[in-house]
Amino acid sequence: MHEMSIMATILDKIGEITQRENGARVTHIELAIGERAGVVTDALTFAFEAMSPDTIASGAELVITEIPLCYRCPSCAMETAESLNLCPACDVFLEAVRGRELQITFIEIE
Amino acid sequence: MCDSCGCHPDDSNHGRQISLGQDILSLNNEIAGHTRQHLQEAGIFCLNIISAPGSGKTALLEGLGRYGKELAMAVIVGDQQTDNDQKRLQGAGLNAVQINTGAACHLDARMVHGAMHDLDLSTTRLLIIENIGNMVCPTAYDLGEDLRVAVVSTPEGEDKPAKYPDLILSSDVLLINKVDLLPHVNFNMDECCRQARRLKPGLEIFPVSATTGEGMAEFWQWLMGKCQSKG
Repeated sequence: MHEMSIMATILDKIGEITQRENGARVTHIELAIGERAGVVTDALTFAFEAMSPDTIASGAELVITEIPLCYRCPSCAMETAESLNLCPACDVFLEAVRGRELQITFIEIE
Repeated sequence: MCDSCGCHPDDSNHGRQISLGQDILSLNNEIAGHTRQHLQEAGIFCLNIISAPGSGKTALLEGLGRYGKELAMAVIVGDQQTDNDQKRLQGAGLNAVQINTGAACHLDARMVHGAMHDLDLSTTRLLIIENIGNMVCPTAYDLGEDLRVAVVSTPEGEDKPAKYPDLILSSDVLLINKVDLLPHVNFNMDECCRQARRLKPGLEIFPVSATTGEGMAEFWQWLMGKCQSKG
């Protein structure tokens, strides 16, 4: 349950950026969270509701986009969401290329 | 004119969109990068060991303490409370420092960086970080390690890798501990390895027993190969 500390980091970062951009408040926040980022999006939303009222992001809309896990063949660039061991065409190990993201993609400020 | 409120786009009251694409853990990752660079320059190899509570991380480190005394192995050990593990590791002749996280469920790069200042690493060639017993949260935090080591133990069941894929996906090697208990527990070794490699093809796996020492020499030999290849 480290979503509270993750949200504290998000709110700190957003606060810094808003101040730097001379904004008075944040109205919209978009996050990209990978399926395998080790973060529960419901818990993150709960943390936002609990922690944001005392911050510059009070009342902001939070949108979380979940990024599914994706494997890619380093040889033929075939991509799949299935955790196959080997590329059926090239017989080489697939690499996990997406699904561990933990990003603030954009914010809207006033 | 804005369709929503009729204001001019240059009006300072109008909402401005700022694209960021910023990594939420970038501060942690910056500190981890600093640690990694420092350890590289000092010629110290670093492991981050992650498992559930009770899988035998501390016992494994006590066991590894018997090998390679010339590496002056040092350990940073994390627990929510008590310095029991620090005492155990010191009892095994290891240079150890304890981090108590209080409410936190994982170690982060800042905690590890702070603890490094409490260790004399002048002769150390191998630094091991024993993370908080938790198979989920610690996987999100880079600590500056060279290798991440996942540990499961036979009484936990062979489906542990499938149940906790984040750990397997982010680890370089899997230790399956407590193989001395195999005659007494319901554990299918082949199935455990299959499930782990299904998630992470090519994953190195070592069945070991920290208690009897079985498999420990093989793991140590592999580890030394990794240390040397780093230079």
